[in-house]
Amino acid sequence: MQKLNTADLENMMKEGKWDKVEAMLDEYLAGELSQEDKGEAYVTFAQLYARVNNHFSEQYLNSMNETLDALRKIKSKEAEVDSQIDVAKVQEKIQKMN
Amino acid sequence: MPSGRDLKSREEKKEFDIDKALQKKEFAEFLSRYPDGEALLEVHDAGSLEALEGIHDKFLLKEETTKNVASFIDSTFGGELQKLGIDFKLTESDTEEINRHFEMDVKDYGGEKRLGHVNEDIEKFAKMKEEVAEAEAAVQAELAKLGGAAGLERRKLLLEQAEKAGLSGFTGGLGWFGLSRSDESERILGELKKFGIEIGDIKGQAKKISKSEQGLAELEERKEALNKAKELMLIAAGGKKTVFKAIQVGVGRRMVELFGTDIREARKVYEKLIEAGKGGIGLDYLVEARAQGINEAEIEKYVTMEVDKETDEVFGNIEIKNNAFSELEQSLKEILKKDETDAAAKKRLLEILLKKKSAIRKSKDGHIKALFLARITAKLADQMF
Repeated sequence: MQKLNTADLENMMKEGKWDKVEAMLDEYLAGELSQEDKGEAYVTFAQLYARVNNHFSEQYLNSMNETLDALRKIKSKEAEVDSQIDVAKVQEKIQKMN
Repeated sequence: MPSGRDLKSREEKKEFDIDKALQKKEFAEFLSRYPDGEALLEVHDAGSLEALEGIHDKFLLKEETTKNVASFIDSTFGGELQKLGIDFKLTESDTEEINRHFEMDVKDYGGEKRLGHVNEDIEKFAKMKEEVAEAEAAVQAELAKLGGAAGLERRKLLLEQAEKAGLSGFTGGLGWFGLSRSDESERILGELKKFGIEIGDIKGQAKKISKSEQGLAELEERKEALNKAKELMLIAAGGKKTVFKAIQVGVGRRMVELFGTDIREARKVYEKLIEAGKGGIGLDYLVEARAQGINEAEIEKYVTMEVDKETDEVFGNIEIKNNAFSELEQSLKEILKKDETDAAAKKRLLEILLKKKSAIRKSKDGHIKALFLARITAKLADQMF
C-alpha cells in the first residue's frame, strides 16, 4: 500500500471536499497488502482471540474458586456444628436423667 | 602484526565451520531464508559466534511460533466455523504470510515485538481451559458430597433449571455476573421458595451461623442454614457456568464478525447465518434455551456488551507496528487530535471509515483490511467520545 498523504487529506477535510476525502481513502485502501501485513493480521487475530478468551476464563475461574472456598468453609463450619449438636444432645439426655 | 582483537576473531571463525554447517539441512534452510543469508554472513564476519547462535535460536523459535499460530487459528476460529458445517483451515500461503511477518519481526525488532508474546498468549489459553475444567469438576464433586439420594436429586433438578435460565438472581449476592432476573429465573425462584429457600438469604444465613447460642434447637437451625447456603452457592455456580458458556459463544461470534473468513468462504458463512436466523454462530446454547421457552434476550444483551467492550480494549492494546494500517491509524489519530479540526468533520471522517469497513470485505484481502479498519474505527471513536 502506498503512503497516505496526510496533509492533503486534512486540507480536503477542512475544505469540506468529502468526495475527495472518500476517493483518497478508497485509493489508499485499494492498495496491495504485503505478505508481512497479511501475516500480521493472522497473528493479531490469534492474539486477540486468545487474550479475550483468557480474560473471561480468568474471571470465571476466580469466581469458581471463590465458590469452592466458600463451600469448603461451610463444610468445615458444618463439621463444627455437627460436633456441637452431638454435645448438646448428650447434655440434653443428662438433663433429662432422674 | 595482528591485534589481539583480530586473533580472537580468527579463533572464533575457526570454531565455526560454515562449510560443515551448510551441509546440515536445517542450517542451509536458515541461511537461505533469514534474512537472505546476509545478516548471517555479516555476523560471521564480525566474528561473533554468540550473536550467530542467537539469530539461529530466533529462527527456530520463529518456525515453531508460525506453526503454533496457524494451528491455534485452525482449532479455535476454524472450530467455530465447523459448527456451521464449514471447513476452515489456513492455506500454505496463509501460513507463509505468518512466517514472513515473524521474519520481519526478528529482523526489525529482534523478535521482541511478537514472538514471545504470542506463544505466551496461546499457552495461557490452553492452561486456562484445563484449569476451568478442573474447577468445574471440583464444584461437581462438592455437589456429589451433598448427601441423601432424594436431596441430591432435588438439587440436581434445581441446578439444571438454574443453568438453563442463566440464573441471574442467584449470582447477584455472590458476585461475578450481575444480570437481573429473567421471567424464567422468577419462576424457579418461586419453586425454590416451596423448599423454603429464599434468594438473598445468604447474608441472613451467615448471620445466624455466627451467633453463639449453644441450644440444640439453635444448633439445628444453624445446620439447616448451612445446608441452604451450600445449595444456593451450588445453584449460583450453575448460573455462572451458563453465563460463561454464553460468553464463549459471544466471543466466537465477535471473532467471526471481526475477521469474517476469506472470500472463498464468506458466502457460505452468510448463508448459514441467514439459515440460523440469528446473525451469529455457535447457536446451540440459544437454540436449547429457546426450546425451553427461556427468555434469552437479557443474557444476549449482557454477553454482547461485555464481549464487545473487552474485545475493543484488547484489540486496541495489541501493538501493531510497521504495517500499512498502523501508518493510517497514526495519521488519522493526528488529524483528529488537532483542535482546529471541527467536531462535525471528525464525525464525518469516522462515518466514512465505518462505511469503508463494511464495504471493503468483498474486495481482495478484504477480511484483513476490514479487521484493521475495525481497530482503527474503534480507537478513533474512543479518542473522540
